[in-house]
Amino acid sequence: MTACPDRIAQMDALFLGDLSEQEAEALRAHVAGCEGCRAYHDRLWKVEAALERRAMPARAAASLEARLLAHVAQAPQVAPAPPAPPAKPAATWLERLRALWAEQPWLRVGAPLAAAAALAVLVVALPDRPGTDPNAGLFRPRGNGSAPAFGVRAYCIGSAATVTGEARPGERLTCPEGSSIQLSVTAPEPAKLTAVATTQAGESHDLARDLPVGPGIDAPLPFSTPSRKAWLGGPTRLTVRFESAAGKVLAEHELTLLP
Amino acid sequence: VALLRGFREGDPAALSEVFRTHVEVLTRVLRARAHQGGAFAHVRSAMEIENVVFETFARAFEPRTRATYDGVRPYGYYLLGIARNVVLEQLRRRDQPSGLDLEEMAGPELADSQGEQLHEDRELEGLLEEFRRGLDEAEARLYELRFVEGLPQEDASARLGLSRIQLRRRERALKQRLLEHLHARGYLRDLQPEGWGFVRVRGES
Repeated sequence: MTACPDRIAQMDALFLGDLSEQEAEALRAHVAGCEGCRAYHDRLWKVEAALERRAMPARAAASLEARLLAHVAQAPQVAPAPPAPPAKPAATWLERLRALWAEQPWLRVGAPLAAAAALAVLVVALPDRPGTDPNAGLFRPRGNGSAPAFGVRAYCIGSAATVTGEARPGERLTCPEGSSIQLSVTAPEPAKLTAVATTQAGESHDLARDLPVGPGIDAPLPFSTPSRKAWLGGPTRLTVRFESAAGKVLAEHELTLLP
Repeated sequence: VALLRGFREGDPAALSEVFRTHVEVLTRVLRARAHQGGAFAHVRSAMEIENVVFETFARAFEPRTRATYDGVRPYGYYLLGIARNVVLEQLRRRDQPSGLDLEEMAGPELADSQGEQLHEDRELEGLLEEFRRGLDEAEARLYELRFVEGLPQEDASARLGLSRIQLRRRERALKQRLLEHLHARGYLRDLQPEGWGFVRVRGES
């Protein structure tokens, strides 16, 4: 197994302490998804640790500490639970999305790099948060609890892991390069979701294709899509379609994305 | 008491202090456990280690968790309990058989894994020692102060009569030579990740 030639120099630079934190994060995002580079990075990490006679290299520990403190600062500061708590309203999905986004360091750094490496779109896996039932909380109805229709919202997540914009069907969402687009969907029944971005020139890019979605309200999709000029260079129509298992179109929504 | 108060209030300085106090020990335990097999067996690569350490502290620093820590129990053990849960949940998410009792370590696996680790450690130690023997007197002194005695750059530069910038440059040059040495010895070639990221040199048994 061989590391990517163009990344070896970067990993060597990381070992030498020549990379900025931003460059190091981008490199880590690549390493996370590349076996050859991971093996190479792993070896240098262990050399560094052995050299310093530590279990974790000081550089890695400092980086981890910075990321951890940023994570703590961004996470919702929930007050300690009282002994017999009254029924609390469910966190809004926006709050959950913010927390979820903030809790996934690899996702945040991985998003821009994944897009640079890949062609146009997609996609950074957002693993389930450890210890969290993926169905818990995300599917609590809001409002009066009446049966929801199929729906979608698009959010722009800025580089600081904050939600910078939101749009519903028929609306416009501005999401500049370096940000990521996150969809949340409402579905009264299981369905397949397809999201296609179509540029003014008629060029189409799939953000999702036949993605199974379960019943739920405002449930974030398990990935985000980095905003890149390659596919979002101007006003772009985003079409989100829900289909049954048999292929029957259950609902279709459109909104406009802007860079 | 002040540290505990700051910790419970989420004061970044207090959180930093707690992190710095415990990250090394937690990492050491994780690395040792990884080579004992069992549920921790996948936590061998640098990224897996960092991931588990991050998630462990992230949970430990959640407001509710901070508030419930009584300040009496040894915090290192408290962290290890969280780390154990993190690892088990990772196993479940990846559909790996976990053998959920972490204390149950298979004998042959334990022996093999520790043997691999020992081999890897000895190989690296040998390479570092070989590199060290090839240094001139000034380089060897710098190596000694920074990497054997573990002095901070500030102290090492004072001992060597250098400015910190001079020391940094010389240290960088030293590490550059070490890299070349490792490349020349093939230590960074033909690597194979194993499991979720464990590295083994091709051809090793």
